[in-house]
Amino acid sequence: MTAALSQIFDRSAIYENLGVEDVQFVKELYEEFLVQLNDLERFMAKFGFASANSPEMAFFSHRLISSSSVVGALQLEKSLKIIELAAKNNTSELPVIFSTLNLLIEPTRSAIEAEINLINGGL
Amino acid sequence: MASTKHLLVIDDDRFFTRIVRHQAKASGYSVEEYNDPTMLNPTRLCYFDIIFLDIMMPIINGVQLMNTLRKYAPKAKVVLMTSIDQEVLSSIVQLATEISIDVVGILQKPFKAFEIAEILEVHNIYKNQKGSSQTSATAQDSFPEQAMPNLLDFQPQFLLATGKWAGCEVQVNTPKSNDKSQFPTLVKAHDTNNVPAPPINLDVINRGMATIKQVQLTTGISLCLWAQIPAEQLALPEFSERLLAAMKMQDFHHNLLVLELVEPAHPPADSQLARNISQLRAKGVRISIKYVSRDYAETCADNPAYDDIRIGSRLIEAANRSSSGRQLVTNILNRAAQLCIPTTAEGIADSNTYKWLCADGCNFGQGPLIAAAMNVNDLLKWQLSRQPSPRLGTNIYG
Repeated sequence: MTAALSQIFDRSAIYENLGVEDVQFVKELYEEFLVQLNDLERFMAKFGFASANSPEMAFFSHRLISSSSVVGALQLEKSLKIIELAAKNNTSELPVIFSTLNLLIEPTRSAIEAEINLINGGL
Repeated sequence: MASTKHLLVIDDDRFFTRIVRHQAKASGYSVEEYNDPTMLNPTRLCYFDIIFLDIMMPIINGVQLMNTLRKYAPKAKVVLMTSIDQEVLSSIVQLATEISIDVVGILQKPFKAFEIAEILEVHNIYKNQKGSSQTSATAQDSFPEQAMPNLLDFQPQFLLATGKWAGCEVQVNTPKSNDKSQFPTLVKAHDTNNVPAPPINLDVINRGMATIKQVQLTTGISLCLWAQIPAEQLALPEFSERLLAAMKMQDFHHNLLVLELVEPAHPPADSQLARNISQLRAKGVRISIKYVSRDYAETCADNPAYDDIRIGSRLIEAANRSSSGRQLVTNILNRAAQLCIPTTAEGIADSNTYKWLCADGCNFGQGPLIAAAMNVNDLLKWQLSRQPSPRLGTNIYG
């Protein structure tokens, strides 16, 4: 894993957080996380920046912050926290934060998918 | 044979219902999960022993669901799951308590699996002990009930409420009261170098079980009454029958009482003291003792008479002063480990003491380093604002 990717995704986090070695269960959670990530992406694509301080965006962010923390999607978690706060305060940095979040979705998804493939290969 | 316990988890976020389901199944629960609370059939709610409820949900949120729970599952224990801020959460817990929802735990998202396990463990212990008390209720029903109107008739030296959280304890002492019509109303600091704290009204004692239950359920922490008692009093004929009868009259759960023997006592198996201890333990009362000798550890390893060994603050002070004192504490901890009895060190005042007790395998700790004595309201605030501390040593309960 490259240094940049390790900033985005910590593969050990889920095992430490859940204290499990059951990779099938971990895979289930990764897949559920991807569903949530896709929901967020679809929503952002459909409504664009106008969605940044909407209640729906707050809902998606709020939900994803917790699961990002559990799976170890570090940068995404950080970015979602910032956007949640920025949306509450309606700050001028909101467009920049929104774009950052957009940029983080793809590498996070790739990292999780790679992890799922790794688990599938080992099963 | 123990019956299967039923757990319901309600959270729109499948990610977290799966984590709860996985952990609960590992703890022996049957689990149902709902990601859409509108699909809930309220009449089925009474089937569940414990309900994990998310607060932030679209359409119907957790607070709205509390009304349904109150109506259809009044006996269920509830664990709240949330990532909302502490202040809002405190109000919700307060509200839940006021409408008689039994909140036994709070999981702050993102929670870890062991936090679920800890809540279920506490719930299991409570349920099992309650179950065993109920199983043997027939025998208890035959005890004469005329004997004792008030627990204080047995003149314990003092009573105290104690809360256990994340492996640490906080305690509130009450001096013995001369007025036997009610429990004592004053508290003083415990293990704070004999500097008494200002007197505080201790509602937890005065209101008896009702308030104790409220505190216990609000915080999700086990809370119990603690009575120190001389061995000769515990050895009185019919002591256990009379105590159990009095507890029954006051609707006081046996498993919420801890009797601490104030001096070492290693009763022969056929003595009245041993019979009384055994009878009380069978009903769920826990027996605690300070100090355990080598002889006792060797002769009673298969059937220890105690549930908890406490190492007093003086001994801890002595251990900090001299190598012989330290050796004595280490020996006690080793004997306790040999007997599989948990240990609690009292009067921990600094982090060095905490560290060496950890290293020597002590299970629980209390004292000024962890918290000074406090009233119930402060106890609640303290627990809500506090991050879990690392456990002392290994939890021998696994």
